[in-house]
Amino acid sequence: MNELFITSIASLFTATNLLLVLLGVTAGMVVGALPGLTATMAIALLVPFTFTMQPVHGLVLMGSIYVASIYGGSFSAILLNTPGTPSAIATTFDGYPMAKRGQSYQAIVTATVASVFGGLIGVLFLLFLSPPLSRLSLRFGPPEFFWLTTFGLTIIATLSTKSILKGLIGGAFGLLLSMIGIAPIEGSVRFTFGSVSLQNGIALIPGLIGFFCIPEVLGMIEHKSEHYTAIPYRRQRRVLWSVLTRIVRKPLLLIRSAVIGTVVGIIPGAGGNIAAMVSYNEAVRASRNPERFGKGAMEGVVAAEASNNAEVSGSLIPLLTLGIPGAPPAAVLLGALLLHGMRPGRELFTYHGAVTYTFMLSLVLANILILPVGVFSGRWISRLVTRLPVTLLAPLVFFLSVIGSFAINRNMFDVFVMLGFGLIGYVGRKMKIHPGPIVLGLILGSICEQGLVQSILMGRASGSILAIFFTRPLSILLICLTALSAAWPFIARALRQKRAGRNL
Amino acid sequence: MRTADRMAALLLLGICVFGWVASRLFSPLSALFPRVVVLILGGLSLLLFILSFRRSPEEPRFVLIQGKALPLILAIAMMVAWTALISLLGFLVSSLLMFSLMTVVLERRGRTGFQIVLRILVVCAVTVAFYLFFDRLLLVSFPRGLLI
Repeated sequence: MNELFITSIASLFTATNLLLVLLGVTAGMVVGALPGLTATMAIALLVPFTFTMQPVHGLVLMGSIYVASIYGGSFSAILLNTPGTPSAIATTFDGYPMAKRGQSYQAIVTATVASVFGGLIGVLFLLFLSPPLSRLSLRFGPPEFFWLTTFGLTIIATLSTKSILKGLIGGAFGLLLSMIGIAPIEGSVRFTFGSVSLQNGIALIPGLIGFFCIPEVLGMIEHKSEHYTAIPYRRQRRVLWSVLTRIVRKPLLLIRSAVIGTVVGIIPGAGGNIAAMVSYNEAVRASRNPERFGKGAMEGVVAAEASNNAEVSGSLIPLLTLGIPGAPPAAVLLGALLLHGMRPGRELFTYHGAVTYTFMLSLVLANILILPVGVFSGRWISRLVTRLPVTLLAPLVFFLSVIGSFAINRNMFDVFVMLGFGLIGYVGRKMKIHPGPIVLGLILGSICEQGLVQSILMGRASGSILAIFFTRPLSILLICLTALSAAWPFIARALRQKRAGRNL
Repeated sequence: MRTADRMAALLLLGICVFGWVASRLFSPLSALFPRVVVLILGGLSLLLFILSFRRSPEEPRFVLIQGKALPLILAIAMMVAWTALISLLGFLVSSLLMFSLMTVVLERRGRTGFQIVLRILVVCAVTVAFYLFFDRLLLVSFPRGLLI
């Protein structure tokens, strides 16, 4: 382990990796700051281009973009009162009032410092929790994988959308899409309509790009007439030091927000927006002056930003150890891992250990780099946010989507698949069926099917199919978690009603 | 939203019926998972269909296109045309053509001729820069047609 750590540090501090982290942080900030462009979309677009890179370089670049784009969302949240990414919703509550008071620079610096600290605490959890958790994955056989994917799908379907029913429908639809092509067991050709191109199944990357990028492009065009009025951003002297000292004097706020962010990140489906909202709510509850929140309280920005950046690493913990992504950008990273032939679990920490640890350590560096890049390039980023026209941005994203979809298999069919899924994704979004559960179904479908069919074969061989599914200790635990996650929205509603009744 | 939900539920039920019928042609173990998923999706769709008859005061409105529909419809048409033209004209030529066209069409009215020409030049520069960056530096292959 120590040897791996040292090798990974040496691997990280090569010129290529350092340059990739810097590039990723800068690009991520720009993407995050532009309203309409999300971290998920940026990573989905990037995956095909990392195909020709070494796995470590690709992961380092994608990880840096993930970290920085979540932070970048704070720019438009503070200057435009429009979150650049969903994770920055809670940042608008106090960031924008601060900017309106003439403290836009203070607000951005506060968001930067909080993001750095929050992100670093999150990475510490990732570094120390992931290896022991990955050991647990060694005990997983086909029945456990079946229940794990079922658990992942139910929890994401119930948590990631407002309607549980539509979330579950999205997940099941994704599973159905994953079955197109040749079956993994017994090899029947399924749902191909006689098309040879569909026999290999739906290619994951065009699917990801289609579901995550095209609806964003169409959304940009749909809302292009909306005008944003930006608050001017002017650098001031000695602000960084004063903000730094004020934040460091509130370690409890910082640590609590980062821990909330990490824990919410670990829960599959509960993304950065939920992390930031929960953390903000807790900051208000713990404050001696809760009435200041919503009117430009620095603590509000700290709580939201420390939490959403810690959530990034949190979402990677279940991804790297069990293959269950904690958030939509992590789902895209799962696609990238599989593309490079790296299956999450113990193998990532042993056979691919050097790559995995370099990737995790690069997140430390990316979080640190946010400070200088964010503080010194903030002026240019804020200009870009307000001046880049949608009429240029929307075709550009589509242009990149075409390149990305084609690049993996060099097949025009994949480009049509991307476009088709994009249109389905757009209509689905209007119907409140979000792409997250569909994509997760698409990714997890084959693992779930193999788990189910292999378990049945094991059951037949041992004499009892039911015993295989329902008597193994880890399976029982996963069944309980699945039942709890499916019932959780109803339990939560009952608890809320009970609490409301008590308050009356 | 209730009518849209009902239509989506019916469409999904149709997909499920098709999936069930098609699965009869598969071998037993290949048909198992599709059947399980079809049953689950069918059940959920049926539930959505039934619930779509319930009136709710907080019911969100289904709006397929917010604001003016024409720019979005044009954008979708241009995306389809762009994709179709790639095989014919090649990636670079079709992208130069469609990227410029899309930018000009989506641009708000009231632009002068000079501004439009300037925007087209920017688009061409961006397209060529990206093309060279990916083709030469990242060695990403591009779709080829009759032209480049």
